[in-house]
Amino acid sequence: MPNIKLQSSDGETFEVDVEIAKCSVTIKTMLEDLGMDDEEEEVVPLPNVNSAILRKVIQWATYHKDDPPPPEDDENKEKRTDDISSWDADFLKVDQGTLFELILAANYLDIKGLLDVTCKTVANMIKGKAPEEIRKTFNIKNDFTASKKSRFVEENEWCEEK
Amino acid sequence: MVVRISGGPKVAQMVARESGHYYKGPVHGFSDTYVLITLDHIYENHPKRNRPLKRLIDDERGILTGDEVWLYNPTRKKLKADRTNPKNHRKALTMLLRGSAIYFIESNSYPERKLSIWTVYTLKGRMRNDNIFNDELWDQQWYLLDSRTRYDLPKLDLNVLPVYKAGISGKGVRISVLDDGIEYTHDDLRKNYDSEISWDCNEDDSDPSPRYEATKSNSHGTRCAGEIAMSADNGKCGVGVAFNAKIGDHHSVFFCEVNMFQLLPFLQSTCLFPELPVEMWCFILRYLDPRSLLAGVRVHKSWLRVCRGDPILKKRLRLALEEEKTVRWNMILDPRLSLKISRELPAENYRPNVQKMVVKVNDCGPFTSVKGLRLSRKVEERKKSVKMLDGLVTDRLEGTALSYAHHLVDIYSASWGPNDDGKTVDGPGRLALEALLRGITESSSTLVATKAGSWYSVYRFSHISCISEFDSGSRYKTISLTSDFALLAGLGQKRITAVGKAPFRRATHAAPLEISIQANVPKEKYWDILLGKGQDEFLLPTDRRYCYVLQIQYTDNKTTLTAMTTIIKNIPIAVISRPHVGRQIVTFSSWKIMGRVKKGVPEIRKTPFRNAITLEISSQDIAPREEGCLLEALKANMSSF
Repeated sequence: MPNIKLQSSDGETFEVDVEIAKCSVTIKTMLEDLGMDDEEEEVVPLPNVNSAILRKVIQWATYHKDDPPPPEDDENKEKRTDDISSWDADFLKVDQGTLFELILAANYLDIKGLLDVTCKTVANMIKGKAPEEIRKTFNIKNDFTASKKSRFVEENEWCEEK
Repeated sequence: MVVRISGGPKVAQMVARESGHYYKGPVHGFSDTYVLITLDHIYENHPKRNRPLKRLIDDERGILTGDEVWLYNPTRKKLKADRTNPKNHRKALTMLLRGSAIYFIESNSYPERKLSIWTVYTLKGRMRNDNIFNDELWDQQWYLLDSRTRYDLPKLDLNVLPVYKAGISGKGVRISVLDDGIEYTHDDLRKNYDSEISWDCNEDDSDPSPRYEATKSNSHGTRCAGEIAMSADNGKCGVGVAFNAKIGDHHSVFFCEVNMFQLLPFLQSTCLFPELPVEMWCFILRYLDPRSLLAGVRVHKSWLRVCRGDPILKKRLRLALEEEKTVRWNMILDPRLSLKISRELPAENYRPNVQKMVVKVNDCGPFTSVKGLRLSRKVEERKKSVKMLDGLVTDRLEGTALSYAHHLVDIYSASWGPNDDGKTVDGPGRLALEALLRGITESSSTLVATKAGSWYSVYRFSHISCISEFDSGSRYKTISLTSDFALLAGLGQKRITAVGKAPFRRATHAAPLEISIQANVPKEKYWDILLGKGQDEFLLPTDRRYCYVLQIQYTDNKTTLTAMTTIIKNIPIAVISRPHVGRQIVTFSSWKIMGRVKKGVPEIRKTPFRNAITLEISSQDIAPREEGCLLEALKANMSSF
């Protein structure tokens, strides 16, 4: 199988199977548009992804290389978040910083499966919790200064507006 | 309240309902044991208030095993009252002052040794043992290698190098660290991490990674684990005492001692939140159901902005708001609803759901003055006060942690000890004790290493620490050790340990078998580590307790008694305890009985320190008949203390 070289923002190069690399739509279009040949020893620079994250992304892509393409989803429907596979759940047991970086990388590389599963993980961190708990989880400062009553009124107001 | 009821969960639910309790669920790790919550903690004016406890005691089907909510534990309550009493407070303070005064006089009477060891041994290079491992901090691990530059200084290290040379490095031994979590993905720990014996008791799942906070206060477990079993010879950090042992973790304690750093406001302002761009949050929020979305919107203004900008989210949010409004109006229209909930629905139904709903109503609505809702607001407040400590150590948690995988774990390392106020001694709770006994009886060799004497007790210069049920008085063999804790030594009194004197903070444990010397890490260094700058460094004071890892491998599957003989035979600094002579406190320097524990405050006598005392103790003097053979022909040679 032909290989391709990916270069992270901090200069490390990873040699990856082309088929695995092509699960990233960004890389796929890049290869198609630029018409890179397999024989040439070209290096694809990925300036937005550092090596630690890229390694994780490649690990994910290698595991999921045989997956069918994800179905197009309906925008209006509420999506499920409890269908994360156990391998993915294990894979995503990382600290929040890494998780967020993975989301950004998945978005940049346009890997739909990874983006889905990481966003689901974050959504699960929010789900079913009270606001104070969520703040604690993400270490967010409370920036609501208004009293509960005025907030309530305000919420109702924009709820009514079309 | 934790209750043992035979007959299964159905019976427990029934008993709970009859006696006016909430049924919360079973206790993990114990059969037939359930958590019930008394109604008077929740509804003040409930007709069955005050009665439940008594009735439950009378009930023949169940026995009360322990208290879940520590605030209501009668003994602890007493302690709390004592502490607030100004008289007692002053007493403690004078004791503290007196103790420190004595300390200072002593330290000044050795003028020729004023030079701290820290400066001494940076004068010249290390003497030897430099290149055994290639880990970068190895040559600073003074407790593992002999770092002296002068032979007249006491030997500080734990004398483990000969053990390593004999090929003993903790292989096959499993240790469980009962602490605030372990960062098991760390390069230096990954190799030795054992997921089979790990459990998160706070969140009840199998992932024991610590809760990450900006202050990095939840790092104690990781550091303990590193101290025990950092990988050796990988060029990183240092070397654990037993670098081939397996570690697991029970995430169960949040450390109050480190908690004080949360007071630093500048650290708290760091926030992970803005790391993602708006469209990503939009994507994530679309995964939420309306109710969670509403909660999320109330977290931060920028999320509200995100939702306002996105038509789908906006629609969903409007639905959620309307739903909430109808719920609230229903509540108001039926003011007796809360009463109805507590009487008519089955126990399992109303506890988690309805209560939460009531709280939510209070949280956002302007109708907090509605009479029926006021009670539930109280519940909310109480919950907060308990939750503030994030993983309060209750007897149930301790019991669960100590009994988890007890057939696999060789050593449990718990960094907390019983409370004490200088008068009464608190032992392990009922479930914890049961777990300990089970560990002793059901598995071949389980050791529990606890740090005896909690923080504040030593702080208050209490000389009594940890003489609990499972200490020297009980019929199970206990190996008591002592070591001097580092922090106070670090705060200006570091000289003490360096010249081999008993430091001010030394807790005179019951008859210590063995003494190790604690850190003389300078203040700045220690704080660096605590503040997380040295998250990767494990250069921390160690205790001898971790040496047991090596001992266990050495003695293999033999009993603890054999392990003990080995320890006694091999360690140069050893003092033998006097088991079975009752609950007595024995100082290791003078061998004087200081007083009985349970009857009043024991007499505290300061004994003058001498540098080398050799004690020869005959076996009749030490041991009762059945264990006499073990301790025979033993010389306790206190060369350092």
